[in-house]
Amino acid sequence: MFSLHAFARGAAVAAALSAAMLTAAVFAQDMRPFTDDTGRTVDIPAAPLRIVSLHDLVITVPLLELGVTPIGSHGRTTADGVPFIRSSEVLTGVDFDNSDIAFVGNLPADVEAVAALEPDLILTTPWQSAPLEQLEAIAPTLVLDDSLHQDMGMHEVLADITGTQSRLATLKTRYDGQIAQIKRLIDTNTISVNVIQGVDGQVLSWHTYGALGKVLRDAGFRFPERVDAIPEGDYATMSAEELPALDADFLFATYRTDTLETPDDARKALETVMPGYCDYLHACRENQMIVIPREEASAASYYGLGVLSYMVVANISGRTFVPMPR
Amino acid sequence: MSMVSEKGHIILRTSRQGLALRLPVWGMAASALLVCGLVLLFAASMVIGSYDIDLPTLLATLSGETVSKSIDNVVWQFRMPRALVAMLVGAMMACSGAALQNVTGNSLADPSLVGISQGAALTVVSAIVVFPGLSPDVRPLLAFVGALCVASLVQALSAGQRGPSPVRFILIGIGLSAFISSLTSAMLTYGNIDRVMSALAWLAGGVNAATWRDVFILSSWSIVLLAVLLLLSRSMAALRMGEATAIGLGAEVRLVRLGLVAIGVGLAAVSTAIVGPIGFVGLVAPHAARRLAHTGPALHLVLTALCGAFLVAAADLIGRAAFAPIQLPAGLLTALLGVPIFIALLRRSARAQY
Repeated sequence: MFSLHAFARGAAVAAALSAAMLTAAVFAQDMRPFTDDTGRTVDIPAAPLRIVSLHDLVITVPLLELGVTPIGSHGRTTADGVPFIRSSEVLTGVDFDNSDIAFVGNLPADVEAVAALEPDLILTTPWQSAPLEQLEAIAPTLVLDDSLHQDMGMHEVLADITGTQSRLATLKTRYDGQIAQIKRLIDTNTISVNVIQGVDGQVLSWHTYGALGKVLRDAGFRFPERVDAIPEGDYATMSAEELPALDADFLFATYRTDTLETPDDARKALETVMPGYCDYLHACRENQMIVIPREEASAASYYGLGVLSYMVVANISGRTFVPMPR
Repeated sequence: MSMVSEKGHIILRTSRQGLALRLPVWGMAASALLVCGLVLLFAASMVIGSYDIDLPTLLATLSGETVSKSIDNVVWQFRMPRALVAMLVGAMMACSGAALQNVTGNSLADPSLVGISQGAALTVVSAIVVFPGLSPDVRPLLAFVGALCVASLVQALSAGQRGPSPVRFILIGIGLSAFISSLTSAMLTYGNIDRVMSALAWLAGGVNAATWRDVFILSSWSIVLLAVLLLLSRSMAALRMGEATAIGLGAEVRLVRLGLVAIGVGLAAVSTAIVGPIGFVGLVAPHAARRLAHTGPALHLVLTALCGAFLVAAADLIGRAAFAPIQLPAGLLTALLGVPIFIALLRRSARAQY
């Protein structure tokens, strides 16, 4: 006769066997110690096969560029509740709807959804609010702090973790070629540039604004003194009074495409900082302000760097422009 | 022991009639129903989740068998402490509201409405943002100090020449709460982004990070504080009839008031320190308990605790499972339920006063 107890035992044995096989596969891997950005030394698989990423833009996108597809990722949702990997569609072409990457939630990520994927490595950031204690109970977990890895440093760390250094070397070679192209076509050290953004009535400027900032600095452009004074890796929030100090020969502003913003939204945000802002900025008055999507401009992505390199070439090389009076 | 049935009550007497207990039948039935509801909710919390665990596997795991390390983790480390913390926090917040409503004679008093939770939140957020190295163990103490300061300030400011006014108490509480929230916002605006994210996750009022350590802390505090609150329940009954009558009946009014404020603040502060501010539970649960059964203060406190436990545990289960893997904080769902109830109560209170 069927008994619940016998059924429970049968199911338990079957589950135990499959779990044991999976666990054996995990433990069969070579392990190595890795010290993460919180100073914790964690034994991780030498060649992780089932990675869950808990930050889409900072970890998932670089992993995809390195040729590693995580089994699960943190993501955002549209107003209709459709999950997406921020910036990934335009930077890598990979998203939840066209890959086997499972959506594991946003902030906090769903730890049960992470556990259900049976990962052999979890990569998280200090920004993610899923408790580290619970993640560690699932699989070896590394906390990677992107603020400590400027200048595409996350790619370096992730290449080390996933053993994809040769792929990274190829990406770097391509980028070096793109920068050389800019330097060949533009006398960069005589031209000043800056990236500004209006937020809640104040203007923000970064020492180096993501990928765009990196391209501009690597290419050798000059920045306003006020921007050079901002510590590396940091940004400053300023009032409208400081707008002239942020002016340059060419100005860049950005808008979000994942929320369906347009260049007008970037201009409106600056208008909120200072009505008639364009009259106070040389670059804007002379039609030398370039407004581009924030995804490519801010993401730590080699594809983004390439796109930005050609954007700079297309907008600044081989044209006449009005230099800012010095 | 003998049992006598009286209209709507059961009276239990010891053999020599040295001790007699008069229990309202409907109140006892409501308590039993709520306990059954809580047991069912706890069972649902064990079964439902993003990690698919069938019933036989769950039963095997609960009986101590290790089916897999992952399932052990999900059941023992994620789901069980989370469900228990939600219930404990709900009971504590609810009883905090009941104590504050009794001592102020104001049916709108709620720790999250009159700034007590915000006071606790400000001190904890300050600790997270300004002193990130500070151990989380000191959070309950910091939260208690913050909550007590705000409670004292609201009491002092609302005590006019003609004595305390319930509406003035609420309005001053709401004003002070807004002021404290703006200080917390300033702290969040200018703090280091990662510390701010940590503080924001805590401020959302979720129990997703619950651990067995939290279960231990909450249960230890609730045993002490709820026991004292139950001891004060006879004096609470006297206070319901007004201060003069309570004094006439021999109640130590000043001492009881002080005790009720300290316990109300303590319950709100400890639970806020562990899971962040979860609003409106202290407002909704005492009213729900009163609607379920008209009882004496002791049984009302029990019903209130059970209602609060049910409310937060249900909010947490819905928040983690309804849109999984998107996780909604329990505080968001209790606020969605609490705001319309608060508005209805405020309108009724205003009609009664004018």
